[in-house]
Amino acid sequence: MEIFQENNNGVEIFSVKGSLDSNTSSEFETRVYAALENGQRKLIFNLEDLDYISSAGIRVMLKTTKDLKRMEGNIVLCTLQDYVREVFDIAGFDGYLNIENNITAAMDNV
Amino acid sequence: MGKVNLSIKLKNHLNDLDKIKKAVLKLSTAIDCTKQKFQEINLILEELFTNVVCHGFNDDKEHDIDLSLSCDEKSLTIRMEDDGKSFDFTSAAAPDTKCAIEKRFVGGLGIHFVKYFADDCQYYRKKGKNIIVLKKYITDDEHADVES
Repeated sequence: MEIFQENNNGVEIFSVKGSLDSNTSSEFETRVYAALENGQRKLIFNLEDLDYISSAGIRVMLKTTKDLKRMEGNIVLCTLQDYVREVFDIAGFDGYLNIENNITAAMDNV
Repeated sequence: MGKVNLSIKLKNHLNDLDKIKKAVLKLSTAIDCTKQKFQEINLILEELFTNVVCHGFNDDKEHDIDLSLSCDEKSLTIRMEDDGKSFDFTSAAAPDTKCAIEKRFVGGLGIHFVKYFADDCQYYRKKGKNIIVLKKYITDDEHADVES
């Protein structure tokens, strides 16, 4: 897994490449929560290059979404591959998470 | 393509997930399956394995988890055996996917994925061991035939 992180107009964008599984999700969680501790409240997860996710990766996304809701922040996911989209649908998360088709729409809605 | 059989000896350490990923990669080069099926097989195996490692044992000792993958032209058969506490995952309750997000937990989600992506799930408890046997069709045509 590789994480590319940038800030665009006050929005912290995480682009995740590869696999978010039981062995890599904790590193992703650490990076995301470091941004929250730095005061970031608007997050985008760009999942264009994310090939694989398991319940461990989904746990981080659910936790982040819950915590940001409590902090009155916002998180948008975008550009999900078919497999990742299917896993979110089966998890029943399509109703909880704000998912957009591209980064422009994600920036507009975060 | 002939039959492919892989036997993987695992311990109850999350790091051994790498051994599973390598085996699935080896399998995918020997069989003709789509990227989607490959990811689904990885997901089934990761969730089964992490569930046993994280929740299967009442002690801190090292345990053996035996995994075998056998594949023919149509389907993959997964067999996993462990000496952990009795757990029939086939009768585990599905998570409530419609509740409010504040009440939503990820617990049970892994098993939910296994049941969703496997085409047949069997569980046995024999001689103090959990034995899980799953079947996954690897061609979309075969899956469609079964669904219809």
